[in-house]
Amino acid sequence: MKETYSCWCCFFWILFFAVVPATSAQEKPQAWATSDTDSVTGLIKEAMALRAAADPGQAMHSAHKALQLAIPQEDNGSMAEAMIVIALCYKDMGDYLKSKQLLYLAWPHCVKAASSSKHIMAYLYSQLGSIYGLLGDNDSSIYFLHEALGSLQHNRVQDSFFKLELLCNIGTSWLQNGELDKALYYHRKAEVLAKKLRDTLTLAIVYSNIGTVYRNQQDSVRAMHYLEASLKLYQLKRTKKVYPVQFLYYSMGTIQPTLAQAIPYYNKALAMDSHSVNAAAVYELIGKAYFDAGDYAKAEGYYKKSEELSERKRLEGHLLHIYPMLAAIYEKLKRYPQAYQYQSQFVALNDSLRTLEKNKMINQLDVKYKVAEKDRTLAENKARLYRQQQWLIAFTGGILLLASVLLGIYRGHHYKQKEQKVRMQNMEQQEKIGKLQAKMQGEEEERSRIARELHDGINVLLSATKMNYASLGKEYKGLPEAPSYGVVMGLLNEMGLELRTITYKLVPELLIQQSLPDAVETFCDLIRKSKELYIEFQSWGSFSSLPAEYCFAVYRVVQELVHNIIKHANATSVLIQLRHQDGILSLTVDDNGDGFNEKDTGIGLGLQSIRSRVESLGGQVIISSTAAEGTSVEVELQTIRPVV
Amino acid sequence: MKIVILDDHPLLIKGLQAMLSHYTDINIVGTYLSGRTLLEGLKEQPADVLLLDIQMQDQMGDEVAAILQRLYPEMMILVLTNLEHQYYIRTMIQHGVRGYVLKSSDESILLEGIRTVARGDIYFDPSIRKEALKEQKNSKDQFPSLTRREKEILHLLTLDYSSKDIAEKLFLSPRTIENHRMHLLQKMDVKNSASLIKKAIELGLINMKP
Repeated sequence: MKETYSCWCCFFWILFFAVVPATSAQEKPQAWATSDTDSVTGLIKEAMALRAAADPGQAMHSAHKALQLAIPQEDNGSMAEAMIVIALCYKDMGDYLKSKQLLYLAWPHCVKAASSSKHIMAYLYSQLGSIYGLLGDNDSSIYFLHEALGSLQHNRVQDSFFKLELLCNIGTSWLQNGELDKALYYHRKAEVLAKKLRDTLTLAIVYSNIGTVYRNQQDSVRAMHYLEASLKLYQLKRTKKVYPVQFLYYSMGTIQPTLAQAIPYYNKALAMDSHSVNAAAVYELIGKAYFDAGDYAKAEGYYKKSEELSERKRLEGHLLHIYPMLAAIYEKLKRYPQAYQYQSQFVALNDSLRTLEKNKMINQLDVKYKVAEKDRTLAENKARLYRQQQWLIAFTGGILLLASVLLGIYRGHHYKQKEQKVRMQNMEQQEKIGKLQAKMQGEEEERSRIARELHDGINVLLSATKMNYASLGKEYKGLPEAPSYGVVMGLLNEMGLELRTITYKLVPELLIQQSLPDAVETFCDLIRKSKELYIEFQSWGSFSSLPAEYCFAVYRVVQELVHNIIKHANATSVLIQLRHQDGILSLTVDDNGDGFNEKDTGIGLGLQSIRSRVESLGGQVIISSTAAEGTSVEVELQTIRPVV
Repeated sequence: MKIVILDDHPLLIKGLQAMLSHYTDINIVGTYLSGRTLLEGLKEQPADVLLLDIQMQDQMGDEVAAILQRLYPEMMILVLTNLEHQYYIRTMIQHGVRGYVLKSSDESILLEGIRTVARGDIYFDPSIRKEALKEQKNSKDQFPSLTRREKEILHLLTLDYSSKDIAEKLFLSPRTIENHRMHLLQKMDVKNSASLIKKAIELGLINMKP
C-alpha cells in the first residue's frame, strides 16, 4: 500500500503562483499604444491585481470585461492576456479542466500576438505546464515547461520573476516524477532567486515544496522546519489564499508519527475548506489510517467522502486509488457485492485511463460472480428440499455450502486483486523505465550536440578572430605597441584556454562514432583523474565497422555502469573489457564493490534501462552480484547473425 | 612556397589568408571548402604544402589525407585542427601527414609548422607533443587481467569440460562460450586449450580447488 500513499503525496504538492508576469505590465504601453486599448489594458491590470489579492471572482469579472472590449478591436494580445487571466482564476478556484480549456482557447491568439509580445508564448506554455502538473499529467507538464524555457531563451527575454516561476515549476515537475535530488536542485536555485527578488509569496511556495521533498525523503525534522517556515511567510503576508495554507497543514499532518498527533493538523486543513482537492486527500489519509488500524467502518466513511469529492471534480487519478481501497474495505466488512462493484469500477477506470486489455478481467470476474450466484441459488434450492424432510440438517448443510461459495468468491476476488496489483506495478515500472530512457536519450543528444558545436562552431570562430586580429596588428604599424592591443590578445588567448577546459570532458562524445575504444578509454581517463577509482580497460578486436547505434549503446552502458559503481558500489577497482570478435560484441564490467540485490535498490532501475536498451538491439545482459565480492555485468550483442 | 588550404569554415580561411599574407616566402595559391573541390583544383594548381582540417561537413580530413597520400605523395600535409585527442593524431599520422598544429596556437607556431614540413621534416605543435609521442598502450608487456567470467570458464576448462558442457552449466549459448575460449587463447597468447591451462596454472590465475 506504500505506492498508494506516495502517489497521493506527489499529487498534491503543486501550488499556485501569485506572481504577476512583470513583463506583461511593462511591455503593454508600447505594444498596444496604436489603438485605443487603454481601458482594456487597465482592466487586465486590475484583474491581475485582484487575483494577486486572492479575489479570483472579481478578477475574473474584470478579465471578462477586458475580453469583451478586446474582441471587436481584434486585439489578439489583449484577448490572449485576458483569457490567460481567466484561466488563472479558474486555477485559483480549483477548476483545472476549465483552466486548461481556456489556455487552449488563448493559444491561437498568443501565436498571433507573439510578434509584438516576446513573452506571451513562454507565458502560455508555462501556464499549460503548471495546469498539466496539477492534473497529474506529468509528461505534458514537463514538455510545456521546457517549451516555455526554450521560448524564453529563444526570444532573449530577461525577466527574473518569470524565470523564478519556471525554476520553481520545473523543480515541482521533478518532484512529481520522484526525482527528489533534481527537485531540490531547482528549488534551491529558486530559493536564491526569490530571496534576491524579495518575493515572499514565491519563497513561501518554494519552502513548502522543499518541505515536501524532505517529507518524501522521510526526513520529517527538516520537512517540518521548511513547512513551518512556509506557513510563517504566508501568515506574514496575511494571504487570503486557502489552498496553499491548507496544503501545508495537510503535509504537516502526514509527517506526524501517529494519527492522534496528525488529527489536529487535518482538522485545521478541513476547517479551511472541506470541498477541495486537498480536502479529498485529507479524507483519504484519515481513511487510510483507520484502515491500517483495522477500523473499517470508520475508514469507509472517510473514503466515501473522498470519493464523492473526487468524483465531483472528476479527479480520475485519485479515484484510481480510492476504488480499490473501498473494495478492500467492503471485503473486510464482508459486503461482497459492494466490493465487487468498486473493483469493477476500478478496472473500468483503469481501462479507460490506460487503455489496456482489462476487459477480459472484468468478464472473468463477472462470470465468476454469476457462477457463484448460481451456485448459491442451487445451494438454496437444495437446502429447501432438505428442509422439507430434515429441517435442521438441511439448514446446517445450506449454511456450509453458502460459506464455501462465499469463500470461493472471496478467494477468486482476492486473487484477481493481487494479480491486478502486480500488473499495475509492472506497468508503473515500465513507465519509469520508458521515462528514464527518454531522458537519457535526450541528455545524450544534447551532450553530443553541445560537444560538436563547441568544437566546430565557437572554437573555429575564436581561431578566426585571433588570426584576423593578429593580421590587423601587422597592417597598422604601431598598433601592437598600444597597451589595449595586448590586453585584447590576452583575452582571446584566455578564451581559448577556457574553451579547452570546457571541451576537455566532452572529447569522448566526439570519439564514440569514430573509435569506440578510444572514447571508452578517454572516459576512463577522466574518471581515473577525478575519482579515486582504479579502472583497467582492455579492448580486443576491431570496431571500425560497427554501426553507430551499437557504439552509442555500448558507450552509454559503460557510462551508466561506471556511474552506478561510483554512486553505490563502494568499489576500489573496476575491470572493463570490450571485445568484438567473430560477430560478437561483448562488454564486461567487473567491480570489487559491495554487491547488491537487484530487486531492492534504486540501482535496479538504471540496470533495467540498460537491459531494455541492449535488448532493443537484440542483445542480452547478464548481471551477477555477490555480497562483499562485487558485481559483474556482461553485455553481449550479435553484430553478425550466425549462419544456420 | 605554394600553399593550399582546405577548411569548411570560410571565416577561418579568411583569417589564415590575412595572417599569412604578411610573409613573403608564403604564397597561398588556392583555398577550398571541400575535399572534392580541392582534388579538382590540385589538377590545375599543384602545391608544396596543404593545410588540412579534420572535422568537415561532407568528408573528414583523414579520408582526404588517405587519397592525397596516393595521388600527391610529394605534397606535404600539415593538419590544422581543434582536435587534440591522441586518436586523431594517430590516425592522421597513419595517413601520412607531416605535421599537426592546433588552430588555437599562436601564429609563430603555425609558421614554424609550415616551414618545417615544407623542408620535409616532421612537426608537432608543442602543446600536443607529449600526446603525439606517447606510445600506444602495449598490452603485451603487462599481462591483462581476466574477468570473473573468463576465470570461471578457465576453471571449467581445467576440469576438462567441453564448450557444450560449460554452456549448459552456465546457462549460456555454446557460441558465447566458444567465443570466450578463443578469446582466452588470444589473451594468454597460446595456441590451444592444453597450453592455455598450463599457462593459467603457471601464472596462478586459477586455483585448483574443486
